[in-house]
Amino acid sequence: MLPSVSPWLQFTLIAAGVLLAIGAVGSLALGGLNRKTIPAGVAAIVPAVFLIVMPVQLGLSADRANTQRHDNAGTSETQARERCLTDGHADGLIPFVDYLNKTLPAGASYAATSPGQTDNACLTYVLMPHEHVDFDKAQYLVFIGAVPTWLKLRVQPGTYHTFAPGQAVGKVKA
Amino acid sequence: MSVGTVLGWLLVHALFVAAGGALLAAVGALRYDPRGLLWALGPAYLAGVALVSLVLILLVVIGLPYTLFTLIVVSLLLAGGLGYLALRRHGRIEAPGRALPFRSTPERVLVIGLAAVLVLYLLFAGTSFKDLPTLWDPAHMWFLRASALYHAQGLDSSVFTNKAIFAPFHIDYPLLQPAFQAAIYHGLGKEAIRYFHIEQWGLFAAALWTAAWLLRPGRRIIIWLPALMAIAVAGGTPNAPTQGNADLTVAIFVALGGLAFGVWLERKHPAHLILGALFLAAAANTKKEGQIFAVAVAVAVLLVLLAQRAWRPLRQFVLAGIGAIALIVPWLAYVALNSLPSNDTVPLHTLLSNGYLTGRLFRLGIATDGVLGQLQDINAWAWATPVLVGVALACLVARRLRPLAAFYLIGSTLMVLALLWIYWTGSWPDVAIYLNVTVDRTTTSVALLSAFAAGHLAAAAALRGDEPVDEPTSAAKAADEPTEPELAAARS
Repeated sequence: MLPSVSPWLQFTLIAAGVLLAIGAVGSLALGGLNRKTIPAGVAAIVPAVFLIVMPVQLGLSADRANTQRHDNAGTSETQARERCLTDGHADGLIPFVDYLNKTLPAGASYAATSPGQTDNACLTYVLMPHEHVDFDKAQYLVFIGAVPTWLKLRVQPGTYHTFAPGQAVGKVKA
Repeated sequence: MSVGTVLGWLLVHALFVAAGGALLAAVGALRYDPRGLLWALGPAYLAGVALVSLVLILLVVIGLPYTLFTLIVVSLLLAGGLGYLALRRHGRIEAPGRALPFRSTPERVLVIGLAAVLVLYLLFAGTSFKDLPTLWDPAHMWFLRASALYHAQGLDSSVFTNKAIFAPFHIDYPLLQPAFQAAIYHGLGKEAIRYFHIEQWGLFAAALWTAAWLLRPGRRIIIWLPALMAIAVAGGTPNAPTQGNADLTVAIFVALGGLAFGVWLERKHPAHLILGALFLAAAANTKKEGQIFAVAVAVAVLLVLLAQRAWRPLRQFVLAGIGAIALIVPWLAYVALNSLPSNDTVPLHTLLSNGYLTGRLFRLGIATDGVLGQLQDINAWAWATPVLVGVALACLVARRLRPLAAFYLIGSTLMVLALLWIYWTGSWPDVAIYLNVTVDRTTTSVALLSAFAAGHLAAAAALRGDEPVDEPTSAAKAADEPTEPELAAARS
């Protein structure tokens, strides 16, 4: 790897090097460059190049795989799913999401006022199999961040539950 | 892990193998002896994944429920129908033969040693992926859609229908990987988001197996095995399953489609033509890049056949292409009929508007550096693409295997050009960031095809040292010769 050289040039140099090596094998080892020796050179150089390149790659990749094993050891299915919250700097939502997953009835549909710290796709993924729908089709309203008054009025009295500041849920009036 | 989960896992994989195996038998690619059948397990599985998933996509598009029952019925119907065809055609098509024998004990030891190291590495890496979390892109696209498909038993989920919520998350992306993932969930009876990374790794292992199965007949293993091994252990690929994206899946199908067409151009066995078309159809149903890459490979085949004036193979290729298009159309039709927006491609009228392309020309230079920089990085893709270029040029200079060399050179070049076009015209405002977060993944298809192609060219070159210059093979001649009914028609 030559970081200061243009990728174009590096690519061309590698290809040219392979071509030259084929030519060298053809002319030096097989007695000249012709229509028989060049294919023989191809058949010799391709496995040789890959056999030379491979051991270092094998070591690096095995090491990477082992790092993955160590870094993720013990990750639960729930933690694996909630990774997008962590990656999206929305770790604060994790207890609320866990609460929603425990309390919302199976297959319930919900609408979220705002994805808040995270985004809609991540929220949908972590709340699966509950279905993320529009407000007019939702059975539950999930409030993240601000709680709009007009929307709170749609919540069935007695079902509104504040989990934490800026995190609440309520059942939609029948 | 319960007994039911294990049985369900076995059932799903057996269904894929049954459907794919029946396809291999129907196209005359199976040898009916224990070793031949065992050797065909990998390709049968991969062909089954492609075939069953493509049919399932068709069914969910027309509104049928996607349940375990659907999966079983579809797989069994495919296995039964293709198995019937196989019984009728049994003996009429010669199945591909065996590898050439080893020339020495050291060669035998080296091949067995390499294969053992490869298997051990695949097992080790696979078990390393057992606790992987769902990363950003899968949580927003691939795994999200698989879970929605599994729970909603089809496309009747807001994830596929609610443009207001999900339009920013590539709602128009093709469905093959989520459909396959949902099939695994149906087999296990539950979502298994960590485990699916191992299934992806299994697909990759099956792809290497299939490449070996395609390359092995009539060739020396020691010539092509190092290319497969180098790309198997290359730094870029092991990262792909850990990301959970569809880039590895699309690369598998693009590369195998390309290799199958390469073998077909060389040997004109109909099995390779049909497998090539199937794998490219699967690629086009996996990612949008897969659609462009499939076109690139198909154009390369077309150009080679036209240059050879091989009219009969050209007709066969067109027919196979029509079949592939029929498998690609359902999802594209669903996207069009439901007006699903695309937020990463630019509309044609914008592309053609004054100054759009010229005003972004600077992106092309950055993209070229990014794409070629990745392809020539020994730590990413083991030099597979520059090696292919060198080898293909050598074949062209030597006037040996020119059609095959030209096919791989044109195909891989068109794929690189397609990538450059995407980065040049794509909607991401900052091309450097665009490259930074994607180019290690989007080059997977080019690199994998390059490695398979280099192995193929080398193995073919090893065979053809004593043959006349680029004379069509006897199989190619036979394929281009008129049949008796055609002669009779011509006489009349």
